[in-house]
Amino acid sequence: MNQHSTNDKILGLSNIKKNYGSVTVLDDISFEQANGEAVVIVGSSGSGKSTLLRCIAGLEDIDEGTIVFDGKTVTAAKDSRYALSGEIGMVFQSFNLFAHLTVIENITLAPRLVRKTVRKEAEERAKDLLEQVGLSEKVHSYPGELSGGQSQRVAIARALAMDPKLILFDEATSALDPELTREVLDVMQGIIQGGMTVTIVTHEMSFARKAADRMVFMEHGKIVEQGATEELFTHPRHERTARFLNQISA
Amino acid sequence: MPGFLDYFLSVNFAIGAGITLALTLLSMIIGIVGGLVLALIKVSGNRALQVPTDLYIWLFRGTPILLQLVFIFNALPQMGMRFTAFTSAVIALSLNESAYMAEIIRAGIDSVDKGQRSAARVLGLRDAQIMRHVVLPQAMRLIIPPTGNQFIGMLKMSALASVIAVQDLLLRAQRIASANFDYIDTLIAAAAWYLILTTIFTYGQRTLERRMDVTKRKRPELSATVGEAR
Repeated sequence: MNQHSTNDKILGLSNIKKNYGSVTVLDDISFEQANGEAVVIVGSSGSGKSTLLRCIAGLEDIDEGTIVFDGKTVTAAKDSRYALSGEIGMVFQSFNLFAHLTVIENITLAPRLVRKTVRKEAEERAKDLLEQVGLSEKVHSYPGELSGGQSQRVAIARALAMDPKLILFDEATSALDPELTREVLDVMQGIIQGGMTVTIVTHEMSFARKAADRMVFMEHGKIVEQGATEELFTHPRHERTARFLNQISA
Repeated sequence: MPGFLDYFLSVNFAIGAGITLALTLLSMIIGIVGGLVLALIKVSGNRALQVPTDLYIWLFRGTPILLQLVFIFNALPQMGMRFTAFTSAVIALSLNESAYMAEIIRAGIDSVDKGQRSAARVLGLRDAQIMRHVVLPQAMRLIIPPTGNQFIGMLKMSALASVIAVQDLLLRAQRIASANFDYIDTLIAAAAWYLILTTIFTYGQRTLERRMDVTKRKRPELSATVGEAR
């Protein structure tokens, strides 16, 4: 768990609603996140967690409500996305590394194109980040040559290279074999300890309990309960939260 | 009377082959650029441009290329637009090719995993940068093989230009034959030239495909099943 250097709000969601046709996938979602805070969103499959992250990232539009990140309103419109210019990072379940680029090209592409960082500088930073995620020897490998765990660690380095103010983790370990999950969770833990603001969707409850300051429990597109992680684990106020936590840890 | 080899090695036939090659390369280059523009419009989601694009593709894929060729050479002058035979042929062949290349390029773009675009978007890349640096390079793997076929098809299709008196390989062969009735040797000599050109194209296509499709371009999703490679 990390100390909050400042407690100012970085992310604010108010009364978000989203429908796919006649199905409501997000229903009256509101929550805030402070700078440096690690929030974990849990809930069963189809509860809307991943959709919520995609909306925060500006990949999907919401139908009602507002998402405000660092004073800017987030939508999926071009202008809004361009204005963010990579300040929100995202790590995907399926890694989504650029298949035609080497590891270092994957990491330096956005800094060079979006931030106009000169090549040499971007590459030095990329090498530092690869060292941080323990993959210094894979600098010139292609994604197809990496294991799942390695791919995801490269994806994390790629997100970090943009110096984002917030990183979203969308089931970052769900596609991995159990023995590869650990290495990715360790890297995530390190990032949180470094003070990065993160919003994590995960099914790894022991990791959530250890790493997150605050936990949000969702069901059927709604937030059932949110609060300090330990508090939620030990004294859930809602019966549904208790039932979910029991099922998961069983 | 001259035989097959005399025709085959004659300057006349070599120039004809050069014109056929020029016609093919010019039409393909313009056709690829045109097809790329049409494909980008098709995937852009811009409704206003979508309709004329669909109309264009419908028109040029739905009518015979021979008709398009004759129309540009014979009908357009009646509307005040006059081109030389060679230019008319390049216009007709490249307009027609654009319609086919548009579909090939669009299919290539569609084949690139949507997650690649999501990742690039979140990283802050602009739409044009995503297309240029992320989507198109990966689409190439699917675009190149059919484009190679289009090149070979174009080489043969260019013979249609002889109808509007472009001095290509086929027309030259026919001219000589109609003077001395030696159809066998002249047409076989022309066929030999076509075969040489298509063989070179096929070889180039294979080389390019091999260079594009090496193991390092494996899809990243597959790697999850590979296991630790350390």
